[in-house]
Amino acid sequence: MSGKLITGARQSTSAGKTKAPEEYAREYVELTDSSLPLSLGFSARLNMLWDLANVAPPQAEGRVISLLGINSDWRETDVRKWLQKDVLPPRLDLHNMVKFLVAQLGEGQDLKRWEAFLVYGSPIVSSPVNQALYREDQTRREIASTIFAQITDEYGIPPTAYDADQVFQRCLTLMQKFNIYELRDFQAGHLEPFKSFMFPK
Amino acid sequence: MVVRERLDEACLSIDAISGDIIDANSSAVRLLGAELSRLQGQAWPRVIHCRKGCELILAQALQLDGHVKIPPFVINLPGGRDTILAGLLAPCSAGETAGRDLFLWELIGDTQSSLAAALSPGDTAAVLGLDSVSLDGAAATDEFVRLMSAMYASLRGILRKRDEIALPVASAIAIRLDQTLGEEAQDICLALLSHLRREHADAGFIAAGGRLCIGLANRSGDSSGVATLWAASTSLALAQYTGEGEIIRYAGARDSALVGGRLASSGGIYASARFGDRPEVREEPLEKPIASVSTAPPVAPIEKGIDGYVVDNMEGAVDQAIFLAGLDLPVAIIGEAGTGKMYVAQVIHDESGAASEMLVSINCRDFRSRKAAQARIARELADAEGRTLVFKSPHLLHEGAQQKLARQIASRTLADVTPPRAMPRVKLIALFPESLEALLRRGELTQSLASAFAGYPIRVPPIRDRKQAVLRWAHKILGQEGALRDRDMKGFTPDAEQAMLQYDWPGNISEMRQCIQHALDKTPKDWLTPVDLGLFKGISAQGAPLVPESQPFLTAALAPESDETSYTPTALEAVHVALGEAVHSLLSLEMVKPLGAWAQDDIVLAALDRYRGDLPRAAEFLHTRARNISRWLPKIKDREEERNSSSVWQAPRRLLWEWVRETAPPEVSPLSIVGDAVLAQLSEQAGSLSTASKARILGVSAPTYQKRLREVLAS
Repeated sequence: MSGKLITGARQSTSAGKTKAPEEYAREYVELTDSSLPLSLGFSARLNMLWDLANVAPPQAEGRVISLLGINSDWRETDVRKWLQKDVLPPRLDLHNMVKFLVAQLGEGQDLKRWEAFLVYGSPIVSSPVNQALYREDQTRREIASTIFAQITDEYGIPPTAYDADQVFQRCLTLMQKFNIYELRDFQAGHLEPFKSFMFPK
Repeated sequence: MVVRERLDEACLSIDAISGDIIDANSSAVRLLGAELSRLQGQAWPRVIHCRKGCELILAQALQLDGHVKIPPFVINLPGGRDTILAGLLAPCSAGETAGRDLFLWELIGDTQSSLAAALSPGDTAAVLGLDSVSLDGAAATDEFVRLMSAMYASLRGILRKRDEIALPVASAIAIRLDQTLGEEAQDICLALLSHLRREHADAGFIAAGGRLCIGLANRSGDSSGVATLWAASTSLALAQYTGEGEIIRYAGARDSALVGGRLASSGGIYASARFGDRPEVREEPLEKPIASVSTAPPVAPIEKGIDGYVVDNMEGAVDQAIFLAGLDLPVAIIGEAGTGKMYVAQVIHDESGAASEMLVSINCRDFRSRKAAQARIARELADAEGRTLVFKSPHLLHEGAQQKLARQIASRTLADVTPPRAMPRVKLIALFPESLEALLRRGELTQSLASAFAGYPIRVPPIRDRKQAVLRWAHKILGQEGALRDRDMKGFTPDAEQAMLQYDWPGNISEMRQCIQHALDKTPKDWLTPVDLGLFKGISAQGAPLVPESQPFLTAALAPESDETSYTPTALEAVHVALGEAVHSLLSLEMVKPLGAWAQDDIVLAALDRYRGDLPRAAEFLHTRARNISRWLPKIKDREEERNSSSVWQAPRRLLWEWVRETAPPEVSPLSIVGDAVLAQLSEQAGSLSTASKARILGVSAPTYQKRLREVLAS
């Protein structure tokens, strides 16, 4: 659908049928919202990040008050709205809060992705934790090892030609994309795309 | 008569005008068990004791001039034994009168004899035949013999242990279906044809358009096994002769007359021309050894030890469930009916390490008032320490109840206790049939409750979107259900697996479980066919199983979606349509089955299933008393076998169960709803049927039928 809209817009531009500035102004007014659309589930996601960061007590045990201890500039009513009513903090507060929380999670976290995920949620922004939890799965790690071995053997790739950890992570990523949950899901036709993705030239 | 004496065949000379026996050779004397002097001068029907219907064939043959090949017919020999004869009529001159020489020979060999002897009242004889093949030389004949042997081996593998199969004779194979009648026999034969088609699709004759047909005959109390086998074989011959579309044909009362009719037309313009110098070659069992026979059914072995998670991650839903289990986050699980939302909820609960009884399911459909809903929710929340509360369809709660629940979740504070206190440690899960945004847009879900559960929704895709999981789930369910019934199920036949992959499973995994449960109830076999599963779509005129026409991927992907195709009927609308189709099928098959009673039986059973056998709650759903259900259950059980074996009933039953499972408790009794639906279909479609027959289809007496009809018309 979006593809069709974009194609349509391009066609009208290429045909030179641009609108007058007044028309755009009227259209803008017509489309304007008086308030920001609700960020459904924002509070729940923000609470989830606080839980993962493990720097404040659970919600039922006084989280709101404890947050005021972390930043005394915040007001209790505002924090309560952020944590319970899907109200977004000011942009700078959100940025700093997420930066602080993500820093507690360890390396490899994408700050901007977390911010976007909190505001828009899945599936608009894919979850920042999905791949991580996939990579912790022992069954998949075993399957990935087998695929790794099969590809290096099939294409005669020597160990000196790659960074094993990086290639292994690429293998796990592609397994997730191809929905490979069991070794039998890996077909002969998968060999070539896996090889290209795991060992890019 | 000197020359005739040398013949092995019995020969009788018959006066063409009077029909009296003029002469007979010694073989005829032996066959008919009477002295020559006692045969001579007797009318042929007094000497040749044809079984019911067969006299017509001989009489018709004697009406014809010239050489007439007589198809198989049954006679009763002295001593009470039945046998099957074939024959040839030829003109002869017997003194001054024009006569006919009737040559007769027995057709029945050891193979057929033993099968016929085993046929008991209540059994069905099935004769399978392959025709529309072209044989062009010895090599083709050898290939044909191999194919018949291979089909025999396939059938031995797939038939029930109590059934019996005879060695192939030329292009036919006879089967005894033990204590199986009517639709059930027909269903089994459909499965056999479908199975042979798939197993031998690559065989040259089948690939080149060879056709498989089956003739069926039930052994009744007053007919012999030999006569039953003859009736099935004759039915096969008529199926092969009369139509392209008739693949499975039951023997009928007019079959003898139809065979007689064929005699008159078989010679075309050469009807009275000399037929040939030698009689038809006797059909003998194949002398070639049968290929080594596999006794194991050719079914896909059941995949053992499936615990759900490893084999079907539901496109990541299980991963997410495991991840979210460790967090204090209310979880929405979104998916169509039957996709396994409750299974994902169970995964979350199990991951938390709590005991299984700590998972509490609250079905929000069951609340009849806001007050009842709030009271139950308050009670469960207050007592929720360490539990997992699963709210099924909370969008069906009253708006006020939704808002109150949302407030408590957002603030983690109990609202119904004084003074207010923090909510206990509880895992909160809500199951929704559609996305929260869609429910919100339609005003069914309040924003506050959507917000409470919108943090990290888990989407469980329908099984049609993850076809790779269909067979894994099917094997898993078959294993579980088999174990529950203490049966060691071997698996599904290849065409059953194909049918499952082609089916869209609108009711998803729940529908699959129900389908397999019903199939297991229906058949004692340790493998399941598409017919058992109710997924058999029929066979084409050429005998191939019907499959949906596939479209190239790009054609399907680029096809515009019309409003018409995007319309999805409600479960009740689907029930109405299915009942209409069932009534139509009955009428076209000229059958009378108590559809109305069956519908009510399945409604009662589905209600009991919905409430896990809780009689008072099921009774409340059905708008009746618990003791009524107890009173109905024996009769429901009595009708079970016939209901289960009816192919006409499988689709309505599936949809009725689905409706009962999904619907909110209706304001009118569901029993009345379906009763009225069957009544309406009968009024619309069965105008020419007698009131008594319509009443039997509705499952009531004629006066009750008329009373119900008056009530419906008045309303």
